[in-house]
Amino acid sequence: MKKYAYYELSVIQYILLIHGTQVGIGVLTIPRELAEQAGTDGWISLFIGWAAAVLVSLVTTNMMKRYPDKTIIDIFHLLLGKYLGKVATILMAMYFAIASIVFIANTTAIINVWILSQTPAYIIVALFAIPAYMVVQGGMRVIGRYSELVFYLTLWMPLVLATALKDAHWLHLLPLIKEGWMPILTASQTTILSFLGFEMAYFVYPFLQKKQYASIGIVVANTLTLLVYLYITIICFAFFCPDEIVEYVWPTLNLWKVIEYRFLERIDIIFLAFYLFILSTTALPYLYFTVFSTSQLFNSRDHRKHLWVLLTLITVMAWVYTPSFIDLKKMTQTWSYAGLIFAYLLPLLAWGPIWLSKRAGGKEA
Amino acid sequence: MAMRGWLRRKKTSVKDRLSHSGEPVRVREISDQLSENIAELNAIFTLTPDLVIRTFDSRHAGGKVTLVYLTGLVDKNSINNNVLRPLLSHREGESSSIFDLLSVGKVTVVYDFQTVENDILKGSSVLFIEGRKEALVVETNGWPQRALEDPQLEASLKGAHQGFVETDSQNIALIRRYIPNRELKIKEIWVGERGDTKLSIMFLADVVNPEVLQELEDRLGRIKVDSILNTGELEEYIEDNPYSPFPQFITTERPDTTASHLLQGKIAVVVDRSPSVMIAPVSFASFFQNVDDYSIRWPVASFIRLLRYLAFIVATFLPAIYIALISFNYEVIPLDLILSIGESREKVPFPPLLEALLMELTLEMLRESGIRLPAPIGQTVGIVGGIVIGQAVVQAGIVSNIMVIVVAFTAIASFIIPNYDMSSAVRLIRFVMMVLAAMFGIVGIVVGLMALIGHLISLQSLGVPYGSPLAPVRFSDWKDLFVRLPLWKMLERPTGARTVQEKRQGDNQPEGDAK
Amino acid sequence: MKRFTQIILSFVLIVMLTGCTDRLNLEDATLSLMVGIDLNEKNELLFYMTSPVFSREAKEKTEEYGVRASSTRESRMGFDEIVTALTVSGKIQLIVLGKRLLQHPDWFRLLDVVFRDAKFTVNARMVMLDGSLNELFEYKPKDKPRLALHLTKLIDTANKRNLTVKTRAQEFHRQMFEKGMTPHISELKKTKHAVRVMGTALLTKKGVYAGLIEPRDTVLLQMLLHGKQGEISITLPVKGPTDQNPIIKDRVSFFIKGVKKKVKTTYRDGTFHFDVQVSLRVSISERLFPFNMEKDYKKLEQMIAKQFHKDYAQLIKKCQEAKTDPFGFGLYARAYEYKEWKKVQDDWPAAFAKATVQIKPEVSIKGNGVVK
Repeated sequence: MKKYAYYELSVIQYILLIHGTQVGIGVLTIPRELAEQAGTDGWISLFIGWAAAVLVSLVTTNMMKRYPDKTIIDIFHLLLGKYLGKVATILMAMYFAIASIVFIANTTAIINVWILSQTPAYIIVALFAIPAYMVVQGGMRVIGRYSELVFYLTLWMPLVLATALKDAHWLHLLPLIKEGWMPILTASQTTILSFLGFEMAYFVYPFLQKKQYASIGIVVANTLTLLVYLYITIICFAFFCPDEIVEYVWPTLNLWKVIEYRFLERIDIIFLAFYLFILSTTALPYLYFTVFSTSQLFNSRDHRKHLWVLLTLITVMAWVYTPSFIDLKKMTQTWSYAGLIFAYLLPLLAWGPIWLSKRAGGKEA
Repeated sequence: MAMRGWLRRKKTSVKDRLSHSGEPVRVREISDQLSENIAELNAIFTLTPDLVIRTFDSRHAGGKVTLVYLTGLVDKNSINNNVLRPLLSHREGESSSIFDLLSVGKVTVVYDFQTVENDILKGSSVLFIEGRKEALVVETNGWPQRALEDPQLEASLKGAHQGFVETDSQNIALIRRYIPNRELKIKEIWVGERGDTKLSIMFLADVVNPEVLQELEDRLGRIKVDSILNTGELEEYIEDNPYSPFPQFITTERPDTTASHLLQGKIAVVVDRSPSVMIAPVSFASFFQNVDDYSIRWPVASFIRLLRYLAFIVATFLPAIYIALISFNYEVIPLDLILSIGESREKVPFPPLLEALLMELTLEMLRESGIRLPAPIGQTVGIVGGIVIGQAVVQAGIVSNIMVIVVAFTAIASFIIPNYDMSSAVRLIRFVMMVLAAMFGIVGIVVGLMALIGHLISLQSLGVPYGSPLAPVRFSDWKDLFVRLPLWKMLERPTGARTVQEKRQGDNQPEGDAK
Repeated sequence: MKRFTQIILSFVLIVMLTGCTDRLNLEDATLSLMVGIDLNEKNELLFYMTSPVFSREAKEKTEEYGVRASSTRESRMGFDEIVTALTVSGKIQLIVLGKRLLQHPDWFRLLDVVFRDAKFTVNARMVMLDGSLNELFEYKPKDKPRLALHLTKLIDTANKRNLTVKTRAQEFHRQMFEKGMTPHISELKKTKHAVRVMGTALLTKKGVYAGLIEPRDTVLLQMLLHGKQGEISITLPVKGPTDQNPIIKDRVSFFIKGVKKKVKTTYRDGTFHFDVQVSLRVSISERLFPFNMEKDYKKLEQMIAKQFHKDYAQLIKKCQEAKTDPFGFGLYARAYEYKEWKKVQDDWPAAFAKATVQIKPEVSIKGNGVVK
């Protein structure tokens, strides 16, 4: 039984969907997070994070390859039975729900600090619910197209950012590995988490048209993300002095603030407004897979009702409770731990049993 | 009314039609008595003074003959020369069959009054013959028509100067002139209970995607209405998303545009009595293309293309951006500019949103008033509008200079979009964006843009993605998207319409160094 | 129909939401273009502000006020009490600091709001005024545009000719936080008829005023900091072959066409050594003494190089004595001698004062103008 029309994503959409999910708020904060732990050597840790992410993504795709037509939820049901499968699905839905809520809360907080400082948070959330509904109601196909289009639409950003390079001080990056490898390894904890998003492969894999490119695609997606992070981190390190960068919560935005043209000033406002596009490519897949999981749970074909309910819930939540910046930090931590479990640990643990069960099944047949 | 019971169904293609009365339909056969037939006709066509019933003796028929037609819908010359004259004048040695005497192309034999009635209403004349239980339907159609003219709405610089008219056979002929190929097939569908409009679906059988064609046929078949008066009406019944502000089909009055779309593997629907042809499936990008693009040099055409997309952005967002910048994010404007904006606004008593709405609405009114006025009065509107907008409003201190510039620029930009439906859609979206901008500044605009993109990429035209080739991205089609590359580079048909046959042309290498 | 209701509903929802709380129409805003901070005789903080007035009826197109307050944000309240509309800080072009304020360390904390409030611009130029801020803000020259615009332009153009530095707030923040250098900002002085660019004010690590670098020397500083930026024109005294003329002195002027800098950093004998190779490509623009260029251009190159060497040595000595390092040699120390740097990083200016800096200019004359 096919509940959803699979085989809808092209390889490029697959790559950019995963890449879009990975690149989000991390870009705004990662230079500071790395500098806090590893000084200006932090960019080296990105490679460690990348390697870990690529490794786990490959394991994930390998796992999904065993069941080319099934999402992780179907696999849960298959392996754990109906009852446990449902529990696993609920957990999955909760993970995605937490991810989307934390993400939206963070985004709203940034908007509240940088652009609309007087507007209440729930109004901003309600505002974003409209485009979110319009895109997510179309399902995987539209989300795939959206991620792809947004990627091309935001290609101007790195080019504009390069104008900040004229004030760069490359000496900041020297000497390499100044404090030894330990801080770099510590910082890689952060970087591992900033690659979160490849767990989309659990769901996206069955939608992919050409499965033979799944592994290559996910490596490309991770590498693209690495390049984005590397670019932004190195520019920030070269621009801000190492003692100063840790002062900024969102150093990337401070970087944009400096850029000025004859016809346009304060590019950070425009950048941040347009950055909402990039943020949306993270939020929308998470939202979609939340309602995808719940609608599978209730065996309903139409995810739109669930989406409607979820978005209303999030808006109401934002109305009832606006998290402070400390709460946000804690929430983000929770998400990170959940991500560590769901994205990194789960495939590593599940791969063995799945591999074995498939082999056993193969022998019986 | 008695007539009602006689409204009935000939075409089998439209199955369950609306029944205007609950009575079972009687099928009246044609009688062999002329008088009975005439009585029957008079019963059908009550209060129809334009019905002509002429009874005369014809030796060929060996008795009395009755000719019936609606005057005005027939070609009088044809009736006189090809029907009446051969029947009235008799010469020795001629064939005595009445069928052979009629010097008209299409003559059919019918047996019941349903058909007779329909054919009379459509401009044929019917010949009843004494003693025969049949009638001859002679094609003498000749209703009032206008001559071929330059297309009004889609003027072209270098393209052809023939536009469609209100007769579908003429329109089909115009299209066939461009594609004299046996693969150009036509399927006819009748739609409408009372109006009974003939739709001719034209397509290239070896290029078009059969699924898309089937989808279109199904949708047309499902329409149950009184009458389709216009192509625009037809569109509304078969659109994928009726709530969208965007046109999901192209209507054109240009045969060459139609032919070009047909060659791209799209389907054209010629609606009888309507001077525009509907084309489906279409994508967002095709509203920015124009026949002239292909007849001027490609670098110029590319430049104009880019200009159109820029115009689209300007026409949609410029007033919104102005509002956002003036009431939220003035940090973004360079100092010198903001000082001059501030100075120009120092007399203006309204907030920016009101100022912008005022001007935009004035402009829309001017535009609407100009359309339907006769040309001499239309000019007056232009002058009055120009003076009102340009000078008086600013001098009176109601709006600022900068606002006038913004509005004028927006108006010009919206005129550049070559498709009227698309530029109307833009007008509507502009207001939504302005309200969003007035409430949330630049964030509002971005959210609006996001929603716009979300809408455009989930929209479909006949099940084919509307955003193609932008979303889903099909790079091979980008040769004819933002720029127009030389024609000899476009070897394949665009994938937008999901054509079966991909190859469009052979390897046409240009002469000379360009190899 | 359901779809339709949904669309209507969501639209009504947006319109109903009073999202306008952030809106501040341009006419309701007082754009402060220049702010000033100073101390009065009683060591109370004074804040000044000037902003354009958009009104048909106002005769004067700017307004300027000074208030007493304890912090920058608090001063906004004071301004809002007086000025036409609501003060906004997104377009500040200049932050002017009084000399009295700069006598006190840690005044930098007053600028916290500039970096904390996202609406604040960080592109304001940092300026020190030698004199009373009151006098400057009251100054309304008839032949100049609005004072803030005039001063902005003054600093920007002076910086183009390298007569002063252009330190924007963001850059100043960096200079304050960067352990390997000390901050430097533009210095202005209000004279009787005009505002004059005095050169570059040297500040210590704590922000205390430590001395002035004159425009002549600022050029040298700028060349070390940024290489060739803008137009660099230098006039040097050179000992010509002829006898000294009491009025027409032996001077040579030239444009710098290109600067290449190479810094060699070493640490030995307990001090840092910086060997700076500066190769300059110059084009003569003025020469006040007869000289056979075709034959002796090498000689002239050496003479110029020698003069440069002398000037640089003087400049560096001055900075070292003032316990400042506007050149950012600390960056080189950190990049190439990290171990030693770590020991002194918290008091780099002191370490720099002990360091040896050798500037070795190499001049090559590329052009000689249109006469021989």
